[in-house]
Amino acid sequence: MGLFPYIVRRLILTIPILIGITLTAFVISHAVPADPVMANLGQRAQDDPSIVARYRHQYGLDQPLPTQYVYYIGGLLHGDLGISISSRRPVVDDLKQYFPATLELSTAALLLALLIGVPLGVLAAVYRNRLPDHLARVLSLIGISTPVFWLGLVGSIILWYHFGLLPAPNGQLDRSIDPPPVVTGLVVVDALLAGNWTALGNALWHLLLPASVLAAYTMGIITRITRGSLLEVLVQDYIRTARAKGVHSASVVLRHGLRNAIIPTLTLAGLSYGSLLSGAVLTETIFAWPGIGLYATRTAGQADFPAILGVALLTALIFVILNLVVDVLYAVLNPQVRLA
Amino acid sequence: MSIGAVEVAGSSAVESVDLVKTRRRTVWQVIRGNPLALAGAIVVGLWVLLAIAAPLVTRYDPISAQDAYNTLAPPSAAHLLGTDDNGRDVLSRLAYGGRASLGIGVVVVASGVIIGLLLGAVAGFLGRVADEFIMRLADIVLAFPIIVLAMAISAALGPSLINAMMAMIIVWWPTYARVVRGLVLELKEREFVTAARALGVNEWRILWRTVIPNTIGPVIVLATLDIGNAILTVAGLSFIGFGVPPPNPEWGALISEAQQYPDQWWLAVFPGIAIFTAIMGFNFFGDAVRDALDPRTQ
Amino acid sequence: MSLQSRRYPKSRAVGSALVAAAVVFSGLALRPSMPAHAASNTLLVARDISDGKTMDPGHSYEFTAAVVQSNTYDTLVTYNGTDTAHPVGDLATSWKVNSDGTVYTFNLRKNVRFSNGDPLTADDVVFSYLRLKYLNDNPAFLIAGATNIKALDKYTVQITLGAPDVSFLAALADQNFGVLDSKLVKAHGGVDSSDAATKDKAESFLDSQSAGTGPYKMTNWTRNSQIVLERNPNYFGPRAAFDKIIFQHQVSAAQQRLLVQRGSVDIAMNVSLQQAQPLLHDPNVKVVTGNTLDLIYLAMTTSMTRSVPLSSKYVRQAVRYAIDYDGILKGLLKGVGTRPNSMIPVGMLGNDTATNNSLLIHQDLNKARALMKRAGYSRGFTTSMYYTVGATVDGVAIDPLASKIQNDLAQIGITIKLVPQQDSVNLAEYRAQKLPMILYNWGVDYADPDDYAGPFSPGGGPAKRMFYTWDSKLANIVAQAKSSTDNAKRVALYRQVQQTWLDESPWVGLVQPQNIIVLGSNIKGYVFSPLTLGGNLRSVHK
Repeated sequence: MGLFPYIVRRLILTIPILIGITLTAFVISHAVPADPVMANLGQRAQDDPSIVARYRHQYGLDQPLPTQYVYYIGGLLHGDLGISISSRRPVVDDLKQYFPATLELSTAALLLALLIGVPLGVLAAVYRNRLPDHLARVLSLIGISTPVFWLGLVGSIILWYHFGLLPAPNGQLDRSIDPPPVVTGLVVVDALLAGNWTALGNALWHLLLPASVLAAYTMGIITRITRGSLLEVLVQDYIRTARAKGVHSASVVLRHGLRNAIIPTLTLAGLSYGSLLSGAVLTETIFAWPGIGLYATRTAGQADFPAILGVALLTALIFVILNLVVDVLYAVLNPQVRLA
Repeated sequence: MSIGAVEVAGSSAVESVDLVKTRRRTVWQVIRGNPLALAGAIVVGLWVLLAIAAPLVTRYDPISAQDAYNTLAPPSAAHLLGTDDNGRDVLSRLAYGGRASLGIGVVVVASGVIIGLLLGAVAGFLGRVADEFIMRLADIVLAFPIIVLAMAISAALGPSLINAMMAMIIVWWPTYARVVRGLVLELKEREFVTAARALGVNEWRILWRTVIPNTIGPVIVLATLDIGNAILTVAGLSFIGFGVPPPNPEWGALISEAQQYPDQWWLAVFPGIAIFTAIMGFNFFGDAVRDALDPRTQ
Repeated sequence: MSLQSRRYPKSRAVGSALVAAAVVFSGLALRPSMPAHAASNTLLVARDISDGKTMDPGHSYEFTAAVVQSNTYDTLVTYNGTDTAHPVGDLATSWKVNSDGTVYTFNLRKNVRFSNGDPLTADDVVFSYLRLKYLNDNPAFLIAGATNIKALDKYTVQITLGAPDVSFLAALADQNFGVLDSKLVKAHGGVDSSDAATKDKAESFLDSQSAGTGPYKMTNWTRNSQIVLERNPNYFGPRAAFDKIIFQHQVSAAQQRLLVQRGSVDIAMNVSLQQAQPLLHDPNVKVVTGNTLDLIYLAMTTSMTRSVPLSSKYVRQAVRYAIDYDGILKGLLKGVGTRPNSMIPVGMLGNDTATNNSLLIHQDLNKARALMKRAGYSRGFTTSMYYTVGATVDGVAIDPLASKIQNDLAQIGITIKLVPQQDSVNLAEYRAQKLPMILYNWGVDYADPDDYAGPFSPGGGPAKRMFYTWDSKLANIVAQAKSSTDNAKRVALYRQVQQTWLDESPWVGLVQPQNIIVLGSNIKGYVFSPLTLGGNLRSVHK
């Protein structure tokens, strides 16, 4: 089919997924045996039934579940994710506050993973079964085998505590530095936009270890996939033909091989973005990075329904959109897919 | 963490495993031919052995052998890997912790494989509504990042071993379902299926007796490579408190306990090495198995 | 492959590697050289501020709010440093109490201005207190006993109580009684009418900035990130030492310690005992410890519907005798902390050190086993103990404590199933009277024994949770102690309360923690105040 009908079809298929996502999140968070409202009141206030009743009413918890769900969906369509029970703010505001930091961290991690993973994968494929290949494969194995939280913890202790090379794991910027005016919420970008080089340097310095740690796993995967895809492509007939025709080997690799092998890599990169968002939970915890991962951990521990729902929905939404984009890109690059 | 990877790896596994021309080698032959695989198998075997034979290796109970006056002690003759903040022996907790880390990893992957296999086979074979439904279900589950979903479930139902495993299994099956569905779709068009149909064999029998068995090979390859991810996920969940509940030992939980004591390096280093080497072992071995089944990447 | 072709992919790879390296090293190169200490006109404080829900004194009931408010608001009376026995005037210069203890009249200090310049009058006090009462939120109980609050003139406030309450003056020092600028708060939707609970809109304003008379004013609060205080130029007292105080959010106690050691922050407020040990020999820091008025305790149900064995008072006594208190205090806590005999902190009226020592129970396994036998449980039993996973209360790590208690009780045949849960879940179940046993903590509201005797005696909140009732002869003992103006009588009554607790109550007082505050070596003038968990920074300078 043509590209446009394919896109439309994919879009339509996304809707039941979105509904399913909201339903799932809603059902899960309401399976809590504890009553979060009671838990968020002080020890003495709960003696007073009028305070309790007021809280319950305020958060709509005195309605039957299906009604709550309907209200929730209605609110969603207006961009309202409810009010966080623990921060007493609209969840949307909480997410707006925390999301940029996660975006910054994940993007930096993905860039690092690509910057290191792709060349390594290329090296490994080109020098197959020789030293660079073994080195690359070991590095990639280390990346996917090492727990990100351990890497972060040990890396932080060694590089910060013992050698003072890196800043304290306390967020995106030293407190003693005036932060740049918030434009995007990504400190590095904001500092760049404001021309504030001190802040830029400091922000990059803070970003270095968390992003590297987060990137490790994805780097490992990208290396493997790049190597694998490139290897497969290199033995294909059309490459052999090109070589037999005397086409310069390097341009063979470059123009034909890499370009086609990049497709799975890019697909993976797109999908990894979603998993990076969740891997960020662990990284953010160690580095006190003020992102939605940290937010999720905190609110999950407090049975803050609207907040957990908000995070789950946001991440699921991003993943679905990413999938859509990747699928469409794939279809653009590879028309065969559209027939499926 | 592994979703995209396994899926893409799965699709290349599908392509690379040519079911008709496969050179079947025994596990033993695989190990013999590849020193890395041997190393991997040995390492994993050692950890499994340590986990099973824990009571023989150490006389300290991992939970109740406490010494309030000897907390946070560095490695010594009495405590080869030191003690934690309750005065418990770290080696003991590492050994018994392996039971949780390795055990849960294997159980989760196995469960995910079984459920995914069944659902994927049904989806691929029956097609149409069943296919759409199961695949949408898979999409929905896969849309949530593992950690967030597991956190939500654990938060809802309380932190316990069972809940953590349930959460992980829920997230684990879709990938296998997708892979198996793809395999089944391809297999459906093969001659032996058409032939069986022509002979009037019952659809379910075809599915059960001929199609599914042919999917097991690649699935096992994936599963072996996937166990590492499962271990990482359990450890990660336990690390942030939504996995194996304390005071039960588990490698990720041990690292979490170590966070508060940066001077006591033994608390963080040993569990990290355990996870790292065990997963590397599984990966070496899994790589070798996959290579063995794919004549092209020799 | 020809020699030529090898170069191409290789140089491409090398190029990428160089780019990556450049990114990495530019990050390292661009970093500013770290100052050894933070700038001298800013005070950086590392603290876990995740408990902060609101900074509005009419609504707040969290430690972080109290910490901030102790620097930004003033109250009628306050305490000097660690002396929690004698309130001194802050906004009030003097006060009178009538003969039956029901009418309090306060004379206000004149020429006091709020941080925005508005003058303080009695109307502000009345507004703040009425609003506190009618918002009917967590802290409203503090003023619940007041039937009438009015301004007699511009600088005189009168409060009438429904019944005499000796602890009232102490309660007035609580941060929730911080006086708000009524003009400013009203302008942002604040009301003090009886329907304030639904009509008041000023909370979000007060969450973004303070409206008080204190030496500092709050100018920014970013949840779980930081709280910024700036000097109040209109403060009536000695000029604040810093242009700014920044509370920097940091959950990890270990990292707080490292931050203060390296000079990245000036004060670390959540360092735990284990981390403080190596600091004692570090010349870069000063470790200050102070007795808190908080308690970490074990609670057991008395109801057969929750646990048949625990409903026997002999079993509860057995538990009290089974616990290795020395192991906890001297082993786990390395001697940092105090052991209360039951549920009134040491040093409080009614439980001075001598009294405490005379009432203390010591571990005696034989006696414990005998009590178990007497109760009919010589073969032991199984029950569940709930506690908050990963919690650190005033520097005391709860996880190892829970494990230790489990171990101790195993010695007398009680098999404890540990149930670690998140705090919110625990509190909810505790409140709902569902738990057989919980390891929990009590944070001080005000410095009077009534803040303990009330809640932990039948009729009080925690007591209800454990179905605690007692003999009708004792029914009025707490009310009497609360209203008596005769200190000797109060002491006698509280002694009786504690003895009763030790005999039959659900409670095992485990630790009265010592809070640990770590200061950079250049910090001077810090005084630990237990009622603000060491958060009062007014006297600090560099």
